[in-house]
Amino acid sequence: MPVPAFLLINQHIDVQTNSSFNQNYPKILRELSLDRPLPRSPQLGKYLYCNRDTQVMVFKDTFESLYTSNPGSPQFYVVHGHACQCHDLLVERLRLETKALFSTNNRWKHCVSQAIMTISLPDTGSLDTRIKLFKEKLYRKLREKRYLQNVPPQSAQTMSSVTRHMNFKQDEILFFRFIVQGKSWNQHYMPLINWIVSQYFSQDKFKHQYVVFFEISYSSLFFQMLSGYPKWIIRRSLKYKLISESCKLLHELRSFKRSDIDNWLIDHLEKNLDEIDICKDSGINKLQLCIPFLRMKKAKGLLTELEKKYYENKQIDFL
Amino acid sequence: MSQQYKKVFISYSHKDINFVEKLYHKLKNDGVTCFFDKDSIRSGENWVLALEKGLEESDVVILVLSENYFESKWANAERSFMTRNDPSGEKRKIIPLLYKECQYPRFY
Repeated sequence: MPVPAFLLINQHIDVQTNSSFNQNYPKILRELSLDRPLPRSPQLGKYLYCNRDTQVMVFKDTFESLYTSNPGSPQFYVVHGHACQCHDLLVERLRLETKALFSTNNRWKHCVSQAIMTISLPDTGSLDTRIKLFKEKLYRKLREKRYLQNVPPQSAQTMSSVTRHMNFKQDEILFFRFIVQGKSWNQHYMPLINWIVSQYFSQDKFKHQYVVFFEISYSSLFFQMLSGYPKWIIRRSLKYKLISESCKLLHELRSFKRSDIDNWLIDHLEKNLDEIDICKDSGINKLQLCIPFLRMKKAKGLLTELEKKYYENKQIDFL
Repeated sequence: MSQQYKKVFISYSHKDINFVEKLYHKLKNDGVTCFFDKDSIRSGENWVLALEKGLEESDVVILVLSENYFESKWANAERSFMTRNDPSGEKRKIIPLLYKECQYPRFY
C-alpha cells in the first residue's frame, strides 16, 4: 500500500530560523526538480485482472444477434468456473457492456436496469419442491427490489404474470443471476434449469428484455470427487442437456495465464516509465513478489528492455 | 540547459505572509513555477475556482506549517481538497516546511 503523503508530514523540513532556511533551501529545490520522481508506488499487481475478453465477446455477439432478430425474447447464459473466479464481477461487467451497446444504438428501445436480481437455486428436495422454492425466492426478491407491489404470490407464478404486474415506466432490460453451487450439484439441477428456461420464461416475447445468467461455481477437485459430480460431468450436462438453443454456455472462467501477465506488465510499464526506477530501487525480487508467477529471467528481460526505452526517451546514454 | 521544475502550490496562512513571500520570490528567481494566491489570482477572479485549479494543476504542494496554518480556514480547505482528491498521495508530492513550532492535528 502506498503511504498517504499527508502521513509523512512529520518528516518536515525545518525552516524556523534564517540559517535553517538557507541551509535547507537547496534540499527544497532538489525535491522540486523534474528529475525527481513523484511519490508513486509501483502497484504492480493491483490492476491485474483475469482475462475475460472471450466471454465478453461471445456474450456481446450473442446478445446483439438475438436482440436484433427478436427483441424481448428472454436470453439465457451459463457462466461457469471455480468458485474463486468472481462470476458476479463478470455479470456486472456484462451488464455494463450491454449498457455501452445500448448507448451507441439509438434504435434499441430498452433501458438497461441498474439492479441485478440474484438468487441461489434451491439445492434440496424433489423437482416440484425446488420449483416451488424457486418461485417463492424470486417473488421475494422482486418484492424486495420493489418491482412488484401489492401483488399476491399466486399472481406471480410465471414470468408472464410477473411482467404484467411490474411497475416500470419504460421497457427495461433486467438481469438475473441464478446461482448453483457445484458441490451440491445433483440430477435435479438440469431439470430445474430446463424448467426455468422452458416453463417459467415460456413466453416468446416479453415487454421487458430478460437476461438470465445461470452461474455454476465449481468447488475444489477434492470436493468435486466427493460429491460424485466433478466439473467435467457438470459441464457435459450443461453442454448436451440444456433444452433451449438460446441458452449460451460461455467459456469456463479461468485464472490468468502467463502470457496475460507478460502483456499486462509491458503495457503497464510502457505507460508508467517512471516506475521502472522504483522497480529497480525496490529490487527485482519485489517485482517477482508482486507477480509471483512471473519467471525471474523473463521479468529481468522485460525490465531491461523497458529501462533502455526509458533512458532513450530521456536522451541519456544507456550504460 | 537550465534546470526544469515541477509546478508548485504554496499552502499557507496569511499571518505568515512575510516568510511565504520570501520563499516565493526565492523559488521564482530559481525558475520554479509557483501558485501563490497573492500573485496568481487576478483581481475580480473567482478565488475558490482559482485555488481549486491551482491545486489541481500542481505537482507539489509546499505546506508552510505553524499554529496559524492549522487555524486558517482556507488552509484547512486546501488540505481537505488535497486529501479528498489524492488520498494516497500518488498524484502530487507534499513538502512540509516547519516555519514555527506547532502541534500537528491528530490526523497528521
